[in-house]
Amino acid sequence: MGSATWQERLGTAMPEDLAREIEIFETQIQLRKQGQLDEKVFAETRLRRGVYGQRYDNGLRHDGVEQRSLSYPSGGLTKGPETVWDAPGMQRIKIPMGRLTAQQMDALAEVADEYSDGILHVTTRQDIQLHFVHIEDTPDLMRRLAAVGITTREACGNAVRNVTACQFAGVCGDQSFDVTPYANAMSRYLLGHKDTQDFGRKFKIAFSGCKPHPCGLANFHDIGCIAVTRDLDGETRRGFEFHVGGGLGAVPHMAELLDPFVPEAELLPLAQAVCRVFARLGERKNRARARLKFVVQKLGIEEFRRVVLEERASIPADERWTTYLDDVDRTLEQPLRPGRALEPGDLPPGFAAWRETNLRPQPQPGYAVATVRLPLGDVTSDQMRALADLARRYTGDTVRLTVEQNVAFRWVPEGDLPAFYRDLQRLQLAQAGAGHVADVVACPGTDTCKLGISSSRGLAAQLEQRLGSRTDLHPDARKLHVKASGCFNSCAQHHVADIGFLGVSRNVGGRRVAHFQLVLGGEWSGNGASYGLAVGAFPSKRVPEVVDRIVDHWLRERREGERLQEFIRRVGRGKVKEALEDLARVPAYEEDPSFYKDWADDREYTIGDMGTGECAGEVVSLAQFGLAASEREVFEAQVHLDGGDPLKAGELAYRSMLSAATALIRIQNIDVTEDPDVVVEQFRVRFHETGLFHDRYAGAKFAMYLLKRHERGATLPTPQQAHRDIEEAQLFIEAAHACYDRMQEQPVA
Amino acid sequence: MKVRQLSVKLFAEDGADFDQAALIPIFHEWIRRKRLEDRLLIDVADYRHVADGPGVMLVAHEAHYGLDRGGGRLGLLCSRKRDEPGDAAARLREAARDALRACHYLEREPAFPLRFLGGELELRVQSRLLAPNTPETLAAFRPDLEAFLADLYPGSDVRTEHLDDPRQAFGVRVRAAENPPVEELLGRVG
Repeated sequence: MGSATWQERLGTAMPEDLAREIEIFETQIQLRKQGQLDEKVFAETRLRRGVYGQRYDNGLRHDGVEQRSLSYPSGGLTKGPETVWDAPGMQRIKIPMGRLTAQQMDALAEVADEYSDGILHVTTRQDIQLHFVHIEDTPDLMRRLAAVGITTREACGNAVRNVTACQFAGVCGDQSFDVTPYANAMSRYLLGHKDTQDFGRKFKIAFSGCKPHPCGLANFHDIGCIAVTRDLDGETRRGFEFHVGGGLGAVPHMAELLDPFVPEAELLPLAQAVCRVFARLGERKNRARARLKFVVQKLGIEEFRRVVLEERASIPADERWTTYLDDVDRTLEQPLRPGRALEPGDLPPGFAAWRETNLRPQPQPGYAVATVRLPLGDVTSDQMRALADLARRYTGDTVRLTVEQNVAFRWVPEGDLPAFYRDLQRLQLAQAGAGHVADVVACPGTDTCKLGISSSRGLAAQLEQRLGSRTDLHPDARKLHVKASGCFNSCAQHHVADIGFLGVSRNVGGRRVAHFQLVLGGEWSGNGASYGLAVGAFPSKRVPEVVDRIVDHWLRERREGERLQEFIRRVGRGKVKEALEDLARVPAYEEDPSFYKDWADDREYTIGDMGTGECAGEVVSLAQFGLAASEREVFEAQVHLDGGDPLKAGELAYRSMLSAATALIRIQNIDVTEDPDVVVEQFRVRFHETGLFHDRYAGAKFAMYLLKRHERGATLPTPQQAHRDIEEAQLFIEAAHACYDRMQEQPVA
Repeated sequence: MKVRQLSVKLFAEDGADFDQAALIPIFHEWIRRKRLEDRLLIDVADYRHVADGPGVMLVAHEAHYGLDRGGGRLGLLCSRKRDEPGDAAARLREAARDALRACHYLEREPAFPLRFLGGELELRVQSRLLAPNTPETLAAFRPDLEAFLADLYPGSDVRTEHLDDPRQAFGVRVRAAENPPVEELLGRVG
């Protein structure tokens, strides 16, 4: 019969260092249970092992009628501030570069079976997430993964997160060279490194093999490395365009170029220097401004470069900087079967469509990369085992998870593709359209994320169904990228989608209604080359119609061959918004109560048992009017930015924040003037210093946008600055809506 | 033999065309009304988009309940997550009771059109540590299993089949000659 513990069973199968780390974590669990470890310390400890919180883990849940306590057996024991011990949590598992072996896929399937709900979720950063995991199961879960070479260390927390890379690295005709060994070396070198243990926030690194394609998404990472070569003395030298300070999140920043050519031997020490600078100069108190992008913004790229190079010069040499370089060409993966061309003959039904969207030929003759589309990034443990079998049968250990939440099988002999496709059909995983319009990317949203505002997965499922069934779509429309985030944090990378959404809520007639802000104009290609801006908020239930309307409007009105981004730039967001205007309306509750529930959720989205008196009702109208005005102003700011007038755009963005603040102040002080100094001072005293405006999770972040902008005074902003001002204004207005809603929900005495 | 995290699946009579969207309001209502009295019901997870997946799932602290299509057959899968103290026999009885009760309550829901087959079960032990999927595990498990089945299907001819894929959790499919309603089976497990 079985061994007593996984620790005994796995023994030396686990690398010694990983085994020791997990043992320490298990001890920390015991100490916390005995009350001998502070909850905040324990929280960061578990986060650094990838053990993350999940929705309702504060022991409270609104059931559609009222908020109720979830009485877990652990009583008052917590695993972090306001985080109940027994509440199910999420386990994030780092998969560097998304690279998996068949053995690892089997192990992942096993832990999903036993400790989770049998579903493995692929994230937009090539991780795997398991949900509904109990904290006391996590040490064994980690041991079983460690035994197949997977660590969850630093999957969350203020650390270097999963190092991502283009899933085509090494099998791409457009790459400068295969970035895999470099990304792998970076991942290993920085994991647990002493210079990466004292960050104020998380730190993300991505590698791309080329500039034009989006696969690596180097432009929005703390460090983004793009492979480039140079000819020196008749020899081709490898190096990297080294970008820093990119990031999405609430306010996206495009990375800045630190160095156009970092020789391969300098890659690790330069990254280490950036980490040391971040640890030294990064913000600690204000978490909202603690990412590297704010250090780069504050210093400016010239000064940042100087500081980094100075730091680089002071780091003691480490042989690991270059030892891996001897192996970069030797460790490349080998195909399982000889390459052979696809032979003419009987092909399975559906194969042609699948081939068109899910296959990419490799430069190596007779091979292709086949992308398996996972709906919403989810795969069952049984399917994962079956995919591992496909790897064993066709490709060997060449599988990669993708940032579009799919799985890529590299080195499939073209002649085997019909058989490979038939096997996928048996697994019901042969859907065509990978990376196309119906392959909607979504973060967990309100399904499991504590920060989710609207149901991004519910929406994505609807969109997948609707767009997938539209056989009339123009081929250009099929190539669009649609992404939905459940909140402003952009985990689904909506800023770089052709059509992006982020979850927000609105108060309609005293009830909350799930909405999504529509974001247009983002650029997925070119490593995420530009960010879109919000056009307006639409009720969640109307979003499928919104997408249809945008696509149809664009196809009808565009010039020949005009891409969606170009079309929007030409006609302006104002025209697009005009075409969507009627879809922003929410019917009264009595007219259609379905609007007051989110997708795939039977609960009323609003808090129905709260109410407001008539007096407050009038004030509400005034406040809502003011908030609507602020939304209009920020939209006009975008129109001016589109029209090439960043000065006017910046002014309007600032004014929109003042309008939103004024709307709130008037609830308490109807006589407030419109003088910016007065508005900001009143806002500071009444909403910032009291904490009334502060977001539960983001704290004072959004309030600071107004205070800082006011402090800055009149300036001539660059287009980038104006873009950022608009982003901040939009978030401030969202926070004002949320603040207003909170004030409305105070029970009437 | 020690077991933990048993799962029990009862198959639906039909249901190829059943739209699981109907389960979402049912499960939310169960949470509101604390329908499974001794379970801490937490949330509803929607996996309808996953082929042969767990469908719409009611997540509780002690167990997950979903209308699962794993293996291509629709059925109520109850997967125990946190076990009560007790030996294998007690845990078998508890897991079966948990699954049967959920089936029984579902059958009583006006918006739920399906019926479950009382004469067929799939049991798994979701612990590859305690129960590797081997003939030895089957031999060790058999006495408790047979005693349990004798109570569940008294006097009936019952056949068991070892689901022996070594990468799957240890599992047994049970087929009884009779096909009693789940309510009756629920009465038999107490």
